[in-house]
Amino acid sequence: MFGLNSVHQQVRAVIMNMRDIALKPALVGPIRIGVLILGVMCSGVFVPAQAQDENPVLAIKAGTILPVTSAPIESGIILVQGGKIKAVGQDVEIPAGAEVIDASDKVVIPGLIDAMTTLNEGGEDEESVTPDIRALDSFDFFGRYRRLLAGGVTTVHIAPGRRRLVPGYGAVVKLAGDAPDQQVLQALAGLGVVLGEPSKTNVPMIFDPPVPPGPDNQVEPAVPQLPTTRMGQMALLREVLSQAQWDKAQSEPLDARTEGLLEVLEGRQVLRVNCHVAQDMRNALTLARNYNLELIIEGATEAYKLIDEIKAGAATVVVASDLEPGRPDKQDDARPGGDGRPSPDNIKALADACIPFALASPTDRSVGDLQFIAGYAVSRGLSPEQALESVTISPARILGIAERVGSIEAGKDADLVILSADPFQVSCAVEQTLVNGKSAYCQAAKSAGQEAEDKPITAIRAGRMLTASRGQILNGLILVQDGKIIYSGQDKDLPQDATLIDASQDVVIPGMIDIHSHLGLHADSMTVSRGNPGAGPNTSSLRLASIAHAVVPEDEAFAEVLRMGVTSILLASDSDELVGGNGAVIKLAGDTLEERIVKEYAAVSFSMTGGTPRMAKIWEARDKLKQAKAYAAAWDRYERKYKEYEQRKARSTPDLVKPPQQPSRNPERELLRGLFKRQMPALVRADRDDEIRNTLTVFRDEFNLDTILLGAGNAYRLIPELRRQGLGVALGPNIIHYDKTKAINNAALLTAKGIPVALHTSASSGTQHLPMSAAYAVRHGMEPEQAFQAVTITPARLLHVEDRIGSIDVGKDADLVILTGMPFEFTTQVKTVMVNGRTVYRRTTQ
Amino acid sequence: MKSKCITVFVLIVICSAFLAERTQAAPVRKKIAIQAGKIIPIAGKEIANGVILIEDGKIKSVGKKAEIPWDAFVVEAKDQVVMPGFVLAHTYSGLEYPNENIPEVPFLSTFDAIDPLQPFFEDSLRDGVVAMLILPGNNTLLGGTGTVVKPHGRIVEDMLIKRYTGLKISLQPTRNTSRMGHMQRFRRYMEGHKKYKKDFDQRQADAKEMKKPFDEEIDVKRQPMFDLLDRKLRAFIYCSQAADVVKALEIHDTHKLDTVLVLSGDCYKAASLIARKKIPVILDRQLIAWETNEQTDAEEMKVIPQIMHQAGVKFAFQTDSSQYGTRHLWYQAAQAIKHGVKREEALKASTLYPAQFIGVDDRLGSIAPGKDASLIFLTGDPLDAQTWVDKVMIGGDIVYEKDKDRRLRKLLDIPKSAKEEKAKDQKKENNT
Repeated sequence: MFGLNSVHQQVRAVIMNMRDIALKPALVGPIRIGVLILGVMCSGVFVPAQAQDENPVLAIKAGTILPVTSAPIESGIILVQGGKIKAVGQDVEIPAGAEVIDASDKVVIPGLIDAMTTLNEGGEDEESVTPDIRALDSFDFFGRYRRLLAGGVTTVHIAPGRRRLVPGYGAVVKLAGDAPDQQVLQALAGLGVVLGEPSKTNVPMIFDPPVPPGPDNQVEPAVPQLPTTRMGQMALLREVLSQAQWDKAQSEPLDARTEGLLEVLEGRQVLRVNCHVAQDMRNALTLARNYNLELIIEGATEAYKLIDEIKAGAATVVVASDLEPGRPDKQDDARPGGDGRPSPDNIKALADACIPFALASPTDRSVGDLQFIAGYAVSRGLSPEQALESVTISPARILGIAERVGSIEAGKDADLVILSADPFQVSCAVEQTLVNGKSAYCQAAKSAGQEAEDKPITAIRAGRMLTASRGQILNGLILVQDGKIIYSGQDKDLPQDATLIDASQDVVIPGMIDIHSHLGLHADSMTVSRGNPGAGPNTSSLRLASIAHAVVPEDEAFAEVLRMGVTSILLASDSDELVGGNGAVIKLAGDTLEERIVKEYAAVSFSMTGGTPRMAKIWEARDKLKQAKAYAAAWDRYERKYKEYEQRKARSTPDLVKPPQQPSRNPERELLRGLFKRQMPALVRADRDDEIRNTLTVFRDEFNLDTILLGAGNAYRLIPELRRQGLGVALGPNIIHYDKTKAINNAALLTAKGIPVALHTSASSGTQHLPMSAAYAVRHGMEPEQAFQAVTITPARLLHVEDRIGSIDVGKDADLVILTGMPFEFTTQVKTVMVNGRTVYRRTTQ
Repeated sequence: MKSKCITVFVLIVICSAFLAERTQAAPVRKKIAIQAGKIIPIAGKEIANGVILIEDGKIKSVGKKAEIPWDAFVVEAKDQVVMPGFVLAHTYSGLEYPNENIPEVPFLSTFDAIDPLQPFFEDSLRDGVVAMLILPGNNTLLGGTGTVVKPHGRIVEDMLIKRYTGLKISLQPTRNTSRMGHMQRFRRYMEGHKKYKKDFDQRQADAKEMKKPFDEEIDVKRQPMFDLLDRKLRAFIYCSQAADVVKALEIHDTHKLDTVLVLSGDCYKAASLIARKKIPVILDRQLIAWETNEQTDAEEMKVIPQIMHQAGVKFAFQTDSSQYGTRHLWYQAAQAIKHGVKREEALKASTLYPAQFIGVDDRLGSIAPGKDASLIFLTGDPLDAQTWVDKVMIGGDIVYEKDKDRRLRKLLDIPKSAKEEKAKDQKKENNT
């Protein structure tokens, strides 16, 4: 085992070091290839001999094997050991103890190779010519390539960029493997050159100030650089190549940039020219001829226009498909554009001329569709064999990695794709992808049948149940059916077929509620306004709009908050204007938005803070509410009369009765109408004494609205008034309020006086800290039970959604959280979170 | 305007003079004996009811019993836990701006920018930190050298433990550069450095040959790079993602550096690579990461210290002043233990290991004879949330006492008064 590993490591080290060796001009190509062959031979000789026992054998029984380099094998077997293919054929014996993958009704092909991608992290560097840039430096070995592996693609060429004339060296990497050195097939794979539009537009000026600047180190002005024309491109390329040759001839010390160019000039590396238009391809061929370079043409959209020249120039081609399957094609092909005029016969033309070519995806988005793209080539006249070759062995040969990958042969890497059918059937699916003999992708097992028609019951046995509405129940039981709680009480016998969640050692609480949050709104948390969006919120143009539709269900911000046990929020905009729009109560989980909305119009936000002058705010509020009240009254009257009219119409002849006149619609006042029916509360932000007092005067005394105070930093000074008015207070995000040096815990003081208090965060991502805010209030003297209610039943009651959420009671939504201990303890962990009876988060135990 | 400035300045001078008098009033005690309820020496087993003898600011002995010299000043801490002060191996707090605008500035030193008046130092002392390495931030390729200080003193010279410690290298690309461009910059810089060295050596050799005196000195701006390559300076390489670790190891190997890795959140994915090279790491502030399992779509919790521990990587914790828990080293240690790291290892990761990483383990990090008497006195177990740092001793001087911490006292009065008020209210209600 030890010996084998060290041999392997040596081979890998050799391969990894090749870049360094390659950079030393003294060591030329043959040595490198020799080393590689030696490496392959070593592993071939030593692997089976030494490590038969430790190295498990994997056998794949395949219905059909398409080895690419030889004829298809029916009912064949592939043996894999140590990441390499050991044997392929019909009469291969499976050794005892080998792991077997049964694919006897399936098709096995080699892993696909996309010879032209920019899957590495890009970025724009300034200089036009940078042969010392390496694409491998920005390849994320730990990235997620599942979608590509699911398309059967195992190996890709990554380019260093497509925006500068000589962006640097590409690399060839596998998309899976245990360690980076297993994934790198070529650390340096061809010097990239970009001809045509991309490298001559937006070429930046070079500004390189000395460090530190001073009288001896003068700051030079920014310098423009070539190229901005095709002439400039060719001139600059000739200049740098000739300069490199000259530097070498002068035997001056060479820098990495020059050495990078010499690699190509001396034939150790190829030149990969990315170009689409015939003119640029011609230029590339001329350049290669002049400097005697090995050339790969990338892109090659107009290759069909100069087949003979490509053939004469002995260039190889990585041709981008003219189809990007299932995605919009925005280019107008009938007009000459930057990327040339595509032709569906391009690929066929290359094949017919016997020019070595590889088929590649046109953009990074479609790398995973490479197999489909090859299928499309078949539809345009390629034979299936040619099409399969063009995405396996051909790119391997062009990239110089054919000893390792590209076909199913003994001694090569076990990069295999198991398909459900022939690769060029449209319905063919990738079932499994292996890289270096290890499974890198496996199609998820299809769900076994449809879910049962009768609705299943979930039972939760709770060691301790904090109902929020009825105190705590020890050894309780909760039954959940169809997303609702159908039983909540003492433990009893379970109904048949109920799935049990055992939380008998744990604490079960209702999902927590944040009574004011901007979660998921991100940059949109400003108010919805009709006016010019740049002008900021404008009270006079506020309209009724459903804020719940401003968030997307799969927003990643929600997951974090769910994990902390917060399941519902009042989503409201962040505004300091008098009227801040309406808020919605939404849940943080559910497949569709409709599933998530608890109450679409749940509150109207106001703010009594700020204003110039401050005194004016009370009058502004008074006016606004007065108008809105009149509006609401007019509409109420109209609706009442309309109902009478309908009744009368049914009784007598239609011509005799006239419908009542409809008042005009005003979207702004429509927003406030719900307040007067007392369908929803007004959520009024007020902080200082005077603001709170004004709120009480206008919203309660004068208009008698259902009101919740928001913020309320000085509420502790107005306790008697608040108590008299029976007002709810939403405290936060500052839990402790400082009065000079004295610290005031509003939450503790108000709840002690029986004023309903809910806690809120007014935060975007910070909503996850709601339980910690409550814990903080507890630490500073609030009763834990009051704090618990302040994030469960109290906000539900204040928002009139206590029929749906906020406590563990029969008929309510099954939004439950299982904790390892009492809430607001540091040692307590959230174990499970359930929304609408579905588990949306479960803590994985290590 | 000018006169105003002068007045302010004069005021500051007077104030500081007063302060100086106060702090210097404490007599320097030659011999100290600490009678502790429990000693956690880190190096060795915990000792119940032990005695630590200190002479001239150094620990002389530690053990169950010891003869207390007649002239020793005795510190009674029979109901307290005594352990070595925490050590912070990497921070860029306490500076005004941690990053220079230009990427290659290895010649900068954080010594020149430490602001002793920043509340960060006061908070650190309150949290029981006795030493910290302040390095440049994470946005500069070659950011400059670091400074080891204690969080106590009015001027930087007073705080200083060790200058010129560690060189910060950050692999996080800056502004417009790509990751490739960032590495290219690094290689170009190293190439330029090599060329400079070669030319310098050549000139020196030529002078010798010509028998001429050679008095040219090495460019001061390049000195840190020479020391880095001679392994006289440790490289603190910041990796902003797991893939950066691969690059950091490449740099470590090619230049044969003495390396400590400073990791960001998702670098745990490269744990096995780091373990193979046996390089110590400083963990990200967030010790828990979430990852979606691509196969099952389930959210999986990754406990970073546990992953590192299992891979066999030696680690130290980092703190962060912005969040509830992670600003305390004890919290980081407690969180690690909760998820399966051994208590010993977690305590070491906040004391001895960081001291080793920043090269002060001959003086700090554990309670052993010969080391500095930089100790903290705790009211309970270091990992208990209810434990307070009661006293901090640095080099034999008590530099912090909770009872005299005016700011803390103000904070602590808060819950009390709220509760009292409530009790009063209840009484009233009962009466009526």
